Amino acid sequence: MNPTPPPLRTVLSRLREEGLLDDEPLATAPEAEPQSDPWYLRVLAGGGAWFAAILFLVFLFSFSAFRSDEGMLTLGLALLGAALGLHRRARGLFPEQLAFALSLAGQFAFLGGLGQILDWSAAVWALMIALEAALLLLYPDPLHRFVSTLAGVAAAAAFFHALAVPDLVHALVFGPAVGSGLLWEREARLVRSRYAGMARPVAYGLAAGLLGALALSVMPDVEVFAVASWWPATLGLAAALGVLAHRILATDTPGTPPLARALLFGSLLAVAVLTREAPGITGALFVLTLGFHRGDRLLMGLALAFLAVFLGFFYYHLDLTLLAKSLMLIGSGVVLLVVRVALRRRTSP
Amino acid sequence: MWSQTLYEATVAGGGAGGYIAASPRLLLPMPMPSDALDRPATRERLFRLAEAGRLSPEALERALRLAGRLPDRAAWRTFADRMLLLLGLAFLLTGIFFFFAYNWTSMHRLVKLGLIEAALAGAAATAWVKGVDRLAGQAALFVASVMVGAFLAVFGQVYPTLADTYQLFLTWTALITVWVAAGRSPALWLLWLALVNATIVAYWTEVFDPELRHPATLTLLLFALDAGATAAWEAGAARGAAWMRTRWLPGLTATAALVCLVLPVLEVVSRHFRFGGDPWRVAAPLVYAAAVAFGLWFYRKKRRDLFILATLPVSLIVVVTAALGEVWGVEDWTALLLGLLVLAQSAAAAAWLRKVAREGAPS
Repeated sequence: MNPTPPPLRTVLSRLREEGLLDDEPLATAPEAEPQSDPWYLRVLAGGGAWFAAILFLVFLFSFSAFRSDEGMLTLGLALLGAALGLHRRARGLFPEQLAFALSLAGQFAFLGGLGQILDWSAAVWALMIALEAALLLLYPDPLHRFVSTLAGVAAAAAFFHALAVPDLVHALVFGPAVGSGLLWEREARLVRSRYAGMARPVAYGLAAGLLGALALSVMPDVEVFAVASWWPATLGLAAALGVLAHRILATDTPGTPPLARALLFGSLLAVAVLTREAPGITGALFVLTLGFHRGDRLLMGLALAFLAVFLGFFYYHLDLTLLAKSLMLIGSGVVLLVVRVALRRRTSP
Repeated sequence: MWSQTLYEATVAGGGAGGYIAASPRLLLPMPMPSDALDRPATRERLFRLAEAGRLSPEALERALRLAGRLPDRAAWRTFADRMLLLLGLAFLLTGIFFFFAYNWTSMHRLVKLGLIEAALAGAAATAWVKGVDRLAGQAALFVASVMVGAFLAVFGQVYPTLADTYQLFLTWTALITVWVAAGRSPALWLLWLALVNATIVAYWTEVFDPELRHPATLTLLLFALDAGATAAWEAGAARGAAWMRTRWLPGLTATAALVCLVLPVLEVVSRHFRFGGDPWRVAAPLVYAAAVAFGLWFYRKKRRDLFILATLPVSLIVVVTAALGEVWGVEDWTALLLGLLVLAQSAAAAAWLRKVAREGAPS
């Protein structure tokens, strides 16, 4: 992608020529300039709030009144109320950060109290999912919404685990993949809806949650989700990737020759079949493709970093022999390299 | 929008001035047109128009594509070509590694060495044929450089030479140095630098006089190495070397250097600021203060890089918080105070970095 975009005037003129824009809007452009932060500033702000939240809890739990189950629950609700109130009035970075830290501390305390009272049953996690959903609506901050989405996916994982139905983990993989894909794909359509401010943070949260859920597939020793097979998750992700590829061929690269299409879909299918017990590979390919499709380098970086870590952990995955893993990876590598050679021959001038 | 590259955050940065992003983090001066319509069609500006109702969803999607914010056919072709090559090679090499691990004990020594040599020769030949100016050639040269290490490790196992580990790393580094110099590839340089780091660490732990061995000395040495590598990269980039335009490598080496410097400072803090008569422990905080001051000046005034600039206040937050925690303890009211201080520091750092991002580029 071109790092230096053309002037607005050029783009708007082209839109007018194509009949996508009336004459009137060309006369003016937004005067107020939008601002945003790069990812590492978000990490700095989020990391600071997390660490502060832990220190706040150390302080609050030094009072015996807050160490009882009910006390913890009440403290959590009070902190959440304070965070919401402060965030509405916050003007400036420090009060915003303070509200964020209070909210995180409140969520920890609420979970701790609720868990003790309900003996860490499935109801605890169902209530946490509801709490995160409520915070998505009530706390209109992008970073907080990202954290809430991620916490919601984690609570859903704990909920399924508490229900003692490990196979629901496949839904935990497929759901965020579909949700994330739909939100990124409808980014432009959502821009004027009431959910516009929520779309991107939730889309990021679901993509990160998907990769987090996939990490469970290389942690069989933890036995949290000791499913018999991971192929249903891979199948779901392959279907999602296939739909995404179909959409990309229609919107980004119309007129792609049928043979090239067949090669691409064939290679996706072959890799999915070969790596059916390693859904992290298809999942990372899905997020990587989605990131490039929407021009988002952060999503692409997340997918590549996850893939590297996934392959590292995959080595120690005990449910498969090293030979099986080796053949799976060599097969996938050969398929991709052969498809590359075939595509270059077909598409070279 | 929630996640934008710094490019968009800064190019969109007001009427006072703007920057062309040579890479997403590196800013070069560019005069900002006074007429809003002559400003670059960034993702944020286009979304702002759509939010204001001036662009329909279809028009927004088309505008993003016209502005190059979404990939076109050529971009997809390049992306698919690169990903098929890189992921294909990554899977293939990982699979070969797993295969070796599976059969290791039952393999004859000549088979082990022969397979690795074949892979090494194949990769080197591919690099030769493709040329190091192409991605395929660079990838092949990287694979060949890794295989040199694999060969040395297996050779050492098959024919025990009683050599120290540092000799393996040193030999590996020496053997690939010519390839690294000829390769003009950031990934190869990173591999080479990692090997030099590993050689120093191994020599330190295996050979160096235990009487003189002190963690602060080692980390300060590694700091000097990684900071020197960062400086060399910046010098090469300043002289216009095209392959040195990438910013991820100096970001990585500068972060590694900073971590190596923060560790001995934290050690001094954890000893309740007692230096124990060790000159290296005395030197660490002084070098740290000088390095942070130089880094803040250089990456703000000479070569604007927000990522590296961001790592410096983060390190300061870590050091200051650790020092106060050591003095006050982390309990009761001091925990509350420390929490508030962490928030204040991170908010101040974020505010300062935003200000730097919006101010004019260095002259």
